[in-house]
Amino acid sequence: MSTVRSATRLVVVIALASAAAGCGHAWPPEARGGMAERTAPMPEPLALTGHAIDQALETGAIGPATAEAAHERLVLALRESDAGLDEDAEASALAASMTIGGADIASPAGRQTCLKAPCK
Amino acid sequence: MTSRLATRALAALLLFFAMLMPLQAADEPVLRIGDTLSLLLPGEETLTGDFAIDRRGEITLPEAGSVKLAGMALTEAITLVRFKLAVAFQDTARLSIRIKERKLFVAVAGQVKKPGALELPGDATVEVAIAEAGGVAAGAQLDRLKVVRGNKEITFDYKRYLDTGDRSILPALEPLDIVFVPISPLTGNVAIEFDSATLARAGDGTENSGSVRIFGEVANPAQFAFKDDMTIVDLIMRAGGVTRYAAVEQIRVITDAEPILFNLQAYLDSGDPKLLPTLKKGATVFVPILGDQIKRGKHTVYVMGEVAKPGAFEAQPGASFIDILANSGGPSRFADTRQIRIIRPGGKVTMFDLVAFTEGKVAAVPEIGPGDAILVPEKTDTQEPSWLKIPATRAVQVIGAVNKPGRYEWADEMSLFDLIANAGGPTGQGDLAAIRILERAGSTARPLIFNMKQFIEKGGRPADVPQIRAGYVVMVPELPIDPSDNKSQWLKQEKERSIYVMGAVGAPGRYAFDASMGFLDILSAANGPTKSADLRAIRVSLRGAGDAEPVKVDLAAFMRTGDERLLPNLKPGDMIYVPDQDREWTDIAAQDTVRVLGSVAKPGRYAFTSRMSLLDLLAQAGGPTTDALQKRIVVINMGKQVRAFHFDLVAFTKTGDLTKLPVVRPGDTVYVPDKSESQWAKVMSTIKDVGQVVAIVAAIAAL
Repeated sequence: MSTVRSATRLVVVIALASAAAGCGHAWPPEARGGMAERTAPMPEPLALTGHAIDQALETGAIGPATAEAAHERLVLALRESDAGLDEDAEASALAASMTIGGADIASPAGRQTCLKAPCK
Repeated sequence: MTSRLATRALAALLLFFAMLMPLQAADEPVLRIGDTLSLLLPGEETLTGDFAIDRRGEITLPEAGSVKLAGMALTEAITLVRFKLAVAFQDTARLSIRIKERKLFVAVAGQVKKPGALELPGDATVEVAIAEAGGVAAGAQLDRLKVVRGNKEITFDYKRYLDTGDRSILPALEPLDIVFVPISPLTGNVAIEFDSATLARAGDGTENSGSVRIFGEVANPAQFAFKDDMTIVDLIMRAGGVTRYAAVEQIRVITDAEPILFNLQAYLDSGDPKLLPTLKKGATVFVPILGDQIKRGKHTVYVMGEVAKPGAFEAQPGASFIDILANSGGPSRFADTRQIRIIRPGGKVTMFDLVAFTEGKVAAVPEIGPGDAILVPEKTDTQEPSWLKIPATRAVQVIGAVNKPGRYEWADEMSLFDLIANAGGPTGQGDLAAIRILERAGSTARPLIFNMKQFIEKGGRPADVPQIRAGYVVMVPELPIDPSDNKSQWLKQEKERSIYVMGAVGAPGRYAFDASMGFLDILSAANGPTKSADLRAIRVSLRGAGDAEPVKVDLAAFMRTGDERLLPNLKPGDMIYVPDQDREWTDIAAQDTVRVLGSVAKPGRYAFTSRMSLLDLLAQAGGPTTDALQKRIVVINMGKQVRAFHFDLVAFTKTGDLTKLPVVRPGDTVYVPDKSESQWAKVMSTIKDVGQVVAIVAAIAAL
């Protein structure tokens, strides 16, 4: 009987130790958004910004390299937004907007990006 | 028979009285050779008709023979004829004789076209005789014609008759006269074609006593026939005038062995006929050459150098500089009329620019006084080997990269462009963008740089072109032949015209640069980036004024997009640095890289762009090792928010679910854990450890 109890106690100890070992190291959440431009639709604010960039390129207000870099920032903003990195996404959207001289556009997080004073 | 004797006695008596008492009236003709008498004796046919007085002065009568009638008056001749005929004829008192016709037998000889005997009308003159002889021939001496009458010669001036028409000059012709037309001595002793032009040149004087001679500085010195009203001026004109070398103030006239000085210049100036010496037959006139003596008068001015007629001139009071210069024939084509010098008797020299005067830039001409000398220098030829001909005060020096460097004569109205053009323009290596001009003023010199290339390309105001003056130095620098040549010439290159290229390029160094060049020009000049160059991280230090402002240039983006705006505007003094891809990790900014740690083949820092993904990064890092826990690849996003996510690579390889890919940006960290960090491994490790502890405890308890 004591042998059985001892074995049981031993198994419990081992289980608790295992659980403790297992619980002591939780992995971060699963990632997402790394290729959001291919998996998620472009939110309207970002799409509008992209359109404005294209117009600026067409009119010659910005060069092709600047337009390319701005589009890259927009894609990054989309990825960050999809990954839950809202602040980073907003910053990236803002950077893309600034290449075309700044515009009051809605951010992906719903906040307005004020680039021209006075802000509304 | 008695009646015959009585008749003869009566006739003789009548003849005697006829001889004693001239019966011809003032106008009774005298019979001459050539006259034709008309005889009429009624009833006697042989004595009715015309009888000519022949060259012997006789007529031939029938029965009476020859009877000389020439020189007799007509009535006298009638008496004689009757007397002669009385021996054969009766009643000769009824014989009538009249002059039917008169002719003149003359001869024309000498320089006529058809010399010979002529039968002329009785009233013919010398002129008619010459005309009948065909007129005078070329070479006839017209002022010395003769009429030869027996042993007598009558000379007359036929030329004067032709000049004046005075018939009294011509002698009356008589039968058997010879009109002789002499030949001019100009024709010489050999019969040739007469050249009338020679007569004008060589004179027409035949005898010394009747002619005048002129020699010396005249066009045609000769001996000319003297005319009564001939003056010395006529003679000089006849001789073709004086030459340009004639000393017209020193003409000598020798008359009657007495020399007289004649100043033709004074006569022409004043027109005073009293100045003309009297010219006589046999006179000799000598026109000396100018310079036989040194002239020195009270108003002498000297003109020397490049003029048509240099020499000493008597300047009338009030004669101006222009008058004197014109009198000397004016400047020749080799004259440098900008540098005319007036040398005063005291030694002072005055300069005069005649060209400026003609252009209205100089108002007054210099005053000229007695004893002054005007020197018109020779124009210097800049191609002359002797550079000493151009004084320093009139020259500019052109050196450097021009086709014909050297010293050039200078005029202030010229420009720098004229000078460079005259020097043959720049060579192929000439750098017109930085022409150096050394302005000299007194004892100082100031350098000046002029960008002629920019002026030509973009234009500018004329005032922007530096003014050149005599004594300046103009240097056209040379461009380096090729970039490698720049190394040896870097000392020549001022830093204000240089740009620095360093790093991963073919030939780093200092390069000549001007505003017309661009970023790519300089990069190409440095042989372009090397294979290991990081084209995305080129840095340009815009030194400008003050601290340098660094600019990042993504040349790769330029290559990709062609966006010229990515290229910076460079200025001399800027620096371009092209980094190497394999540069020190501390040189790479953290925000430009992603850190890859853990179980990958090549952990480290990797350049990353937002266009890439985690998969690109893992591939670049050599991929996970065999010990990698591929199910739990951790990405730590280190932006505004620091968040960690895990990625299951194994599941991704099975599903290809792109939604599970993590966001990776420059500045983030990727950790690939080892398998030992998996939960099962940790549980098993714990079980193992606990088991070991329990075993030990059990063993002790058993003891």
